[in-house]
Amino acid sequence: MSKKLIEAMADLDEDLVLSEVKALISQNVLALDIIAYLQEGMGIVGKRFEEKEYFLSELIMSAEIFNEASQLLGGVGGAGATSKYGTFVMGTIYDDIHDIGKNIVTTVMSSNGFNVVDLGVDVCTEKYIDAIKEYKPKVIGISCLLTTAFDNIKECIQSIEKAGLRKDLKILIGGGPVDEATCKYVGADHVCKNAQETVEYSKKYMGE
Amino acid sequence: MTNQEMYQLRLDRIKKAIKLEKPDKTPFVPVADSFYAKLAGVTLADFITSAEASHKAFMYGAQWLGDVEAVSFSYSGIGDFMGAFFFSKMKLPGRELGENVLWQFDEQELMSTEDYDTILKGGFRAFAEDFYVNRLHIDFEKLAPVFEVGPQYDQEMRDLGYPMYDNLNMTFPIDCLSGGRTMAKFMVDIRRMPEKIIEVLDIVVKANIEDMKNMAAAWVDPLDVWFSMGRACPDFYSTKIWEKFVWKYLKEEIEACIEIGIPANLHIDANWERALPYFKELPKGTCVFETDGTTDIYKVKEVLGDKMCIKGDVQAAKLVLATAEDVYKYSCQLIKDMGPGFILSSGCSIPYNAKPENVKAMVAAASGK
Repeated sequence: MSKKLIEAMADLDEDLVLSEVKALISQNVLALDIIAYLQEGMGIVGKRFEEKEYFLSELIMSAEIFNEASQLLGGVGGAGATSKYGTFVMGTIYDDIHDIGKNIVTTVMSSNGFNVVDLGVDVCTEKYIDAIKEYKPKVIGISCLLTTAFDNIKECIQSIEKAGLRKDLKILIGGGPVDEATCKYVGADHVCKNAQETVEYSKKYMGE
Repeated sequence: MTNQEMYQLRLDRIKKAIKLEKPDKTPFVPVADSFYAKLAGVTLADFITSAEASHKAFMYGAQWLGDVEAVSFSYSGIGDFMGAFFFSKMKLPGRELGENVLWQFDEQELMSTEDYDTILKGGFRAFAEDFYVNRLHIDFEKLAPVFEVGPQYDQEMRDLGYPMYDNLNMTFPIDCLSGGRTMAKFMVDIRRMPEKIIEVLDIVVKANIEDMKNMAAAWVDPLDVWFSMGRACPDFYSTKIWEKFVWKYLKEEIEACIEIGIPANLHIDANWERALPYFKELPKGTCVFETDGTTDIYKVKEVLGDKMCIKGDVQAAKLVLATAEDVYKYSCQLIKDMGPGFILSSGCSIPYNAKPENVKAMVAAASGK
């Protein structure tokens, strides 16, 4: 156990994280063990975010450090290579190309132990359905920043239901104009106000 | 009453509300663009590329609303130039998008960390001018006729009796730098090279203030300087970082507006509740806090009600999904609870697919009819 690495990750001390990872590699510590330490540090980052000690930029920085450390390990742990919780599929609904919110969520989910399948922006219903069939996620996320895309989300969710894929699948929505009334209108399960809420909801549902 | 008299009356109502005085009616000043295009039967593709078509839409929209204290603009048609404010490329209706799909920013990493050095060496204006042409590929020759006809269209709107609110604006440095770098990369830059970013921000803010003062000197009846600040949200940064990289510069730009006697309209997207106490540092009656509904308007009233005018916040989702009766009741409640020093408005912009009857419900609530 490397308390030093866990704390450095939690404190977002980039230089210390990288030097400690290198030191552990030279001591022949298993890559998966090192990833587990980093993920424990990420868990503390998430807790500090919930306690409003950390904010979005700290989440982004933690993901950046995590990915850099993963590179030192030959990519192990990067982009969900060690999926602790399973697969999370996400995209921005069709006719909407906003990707900032989506990218933040997918980055934070990846570095919190989820195998993330990022469908991109302007994603058509068929692509969501194909991804659900292929990856069998328990949770998917649909992002949208335009009220004009509300009907598109609604259509997408109805099509997922019609395809018989809604059972045991939770559909999360998020984005600037999205609220509880929107959630009800489009038939989603939950509105996530930020990336960390997506992490927490998905962890609970996918089994922590 | 003549159009000119109506124009003066509307100007006075807005000015009184900003000074926290009681006008004869609560001003209604929505933010709207694409909604007017839909009302006027102008495609978004035409609206965004044709000054003439967009002017037709704004003129139609103002008259359709009728009892409205101001509109945002008298024309659009600037296409790719919209991306200049955020150092971002645009995807436009009729070009990359369908005829009536809303224009959107296409954020890409167009700036590198070396560009910070370029700004430090050659100044911000030179960098921005090169950036617009060579990275955003804005065709200024094509835009020249739009800017030429603009003052005439503004005058036509004034002649119709409607002032313009929000059309004089100032860029906030976090918006353009984080747009050019991408938001995530800029957040990382702030941690990796804080001193350099501070030096760059110093330069950008000085250039922005100079530009704003030059524009304001040539403006007719400027009611406000519009600030868009979505990317500077305090929920994005720890307090220490926000104070150092956001508040210091935001305050400097706001104070520059106050210095020349034009109120700053702070168009606040996302949740700024944590930052509300900072705005108490600004002089009474000199700014407008415009919330899109994400920052709780009642919290704004509680913390800043005796300091600055509040504008908002009939949310976009409400304008699309709620009933006219719901919107009317909500608007009336806001007018009652916010008291003087309040401008009724849409939360952010009236969406393209807002129900017209919901927009009319805001007009009715403000006019008491």
